[in-house]
Amino acid sequence: MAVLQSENIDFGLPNKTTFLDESALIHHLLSLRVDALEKKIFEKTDNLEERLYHVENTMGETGANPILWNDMDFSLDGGFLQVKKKEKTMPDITEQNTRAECEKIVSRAIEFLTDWDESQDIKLQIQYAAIIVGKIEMIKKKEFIQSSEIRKKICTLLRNVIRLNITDEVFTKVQIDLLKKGFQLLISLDTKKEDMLQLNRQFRKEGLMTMPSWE
Amino acid sequence: MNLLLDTTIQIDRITGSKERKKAVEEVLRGNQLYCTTYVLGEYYNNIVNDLVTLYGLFLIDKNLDETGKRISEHVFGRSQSRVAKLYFNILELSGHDVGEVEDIFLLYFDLIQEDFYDGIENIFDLTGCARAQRRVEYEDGIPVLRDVHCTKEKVICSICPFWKKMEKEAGRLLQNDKVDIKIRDILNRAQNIEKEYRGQNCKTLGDTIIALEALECGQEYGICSSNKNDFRPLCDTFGITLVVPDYSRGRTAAKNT
Repeated sequence: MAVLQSENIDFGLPNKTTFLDESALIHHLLSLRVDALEKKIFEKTDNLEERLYHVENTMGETGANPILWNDMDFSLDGGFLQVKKKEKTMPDITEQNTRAECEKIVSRAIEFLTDWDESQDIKLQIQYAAIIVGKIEMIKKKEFIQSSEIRKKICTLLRNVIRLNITDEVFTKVQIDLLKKGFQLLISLDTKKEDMLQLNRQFRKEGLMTMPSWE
Repeated sequence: MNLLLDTTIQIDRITGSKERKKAVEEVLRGNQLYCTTYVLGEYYNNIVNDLVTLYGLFLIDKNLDETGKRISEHVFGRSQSRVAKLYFNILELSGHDVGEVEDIFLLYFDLIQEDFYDGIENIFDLTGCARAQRRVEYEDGIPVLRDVHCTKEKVICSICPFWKKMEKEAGRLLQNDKVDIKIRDILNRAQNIEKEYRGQNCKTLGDTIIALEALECGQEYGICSSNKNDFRPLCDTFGITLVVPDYSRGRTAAKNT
């Protein structure tokens, strides 16, 4: 048996309440402590939220950048509210893995493009082109590419450019650099439609066909 | 020099063969390039429309052989040769893979609309052409180019006010018997019946409209067109410089006429 005795502290029970044993008494005391701590944390959180709200409103009035709540991670740690900006992460582990695979393919493709750049022989160019087209076909099957319409279109664009122009003349350094740029866009997280359209314009400016003729 | 590009030049520089593109580039180099919404409307009515139609034929069953047959059954005139050439080029590029064919089409919808503006300083809107407002839209991922009905009976653009404004200049065409008789007949009728400027007639008057647009832009504007026969009498009447690329085999020199 254990008796809880206190003259001037409110434990939520009458003074001299008897417990079956010590562990029951301790359990009760601990649950009281947890309740008290929780209450304290919530009060602090409410206070912090109120202050954040006030700060946000003030920033809004001054035209400063608003807090992007969706970009923040909030956590309570030792009674303190931790606020961190979310890291840009891939949606799931599968896509992370296929992006890693795509990076390997791109890295290899760029190595071949560099070799191609150093060669001035059109026969060698045709061989390199076949390898690069193979890399494009390989990368296009990956989930990371398939999940994005723009990346798929860039794959198609790169493939078209090579196939339409490969037998005409030896590619210049600038043209090969553009192919490299195209591959880089495939693995960039920020690739947008305008990037694809700009790449198309650059190809055309450098004298490369991006569409076959129909006239 | 400021050069107003007509529809033939826009089509050639975007969809033409390598040789044609080189010839066009040769004449355009060093000039400031402009275009108009009327030309944009013609471009959508021809090239973009052809591409959407071809894709529609393909989507019926995505059978590569049947699509080829459908071109001869459902596409006619100038469009047929254009569409057929494009289709067989796409087949070659795709390695006859249905998935790749589809991907190529979807890419080309973006490129064909974007390339029109490449290198163009400004697109003048002098006619409020309704066909120029068309864009490829997507319904459940399927591209659609909504039709615009240009008829005599309905006013959907500002072509009549444009003709009214250019009445005096247009009148000079009636005095030149080198101008196509079809054009002069329409202009004669339109003097009393305004709706003669609209509908199918508007398409017939296309080159005349473009020439008048160049005139309205200012004396410093020339026209670039591959259609020398139709534009020469118009440009001679108005005193506009006409620049025509030389598509002769093996030569890419420009001719100022």
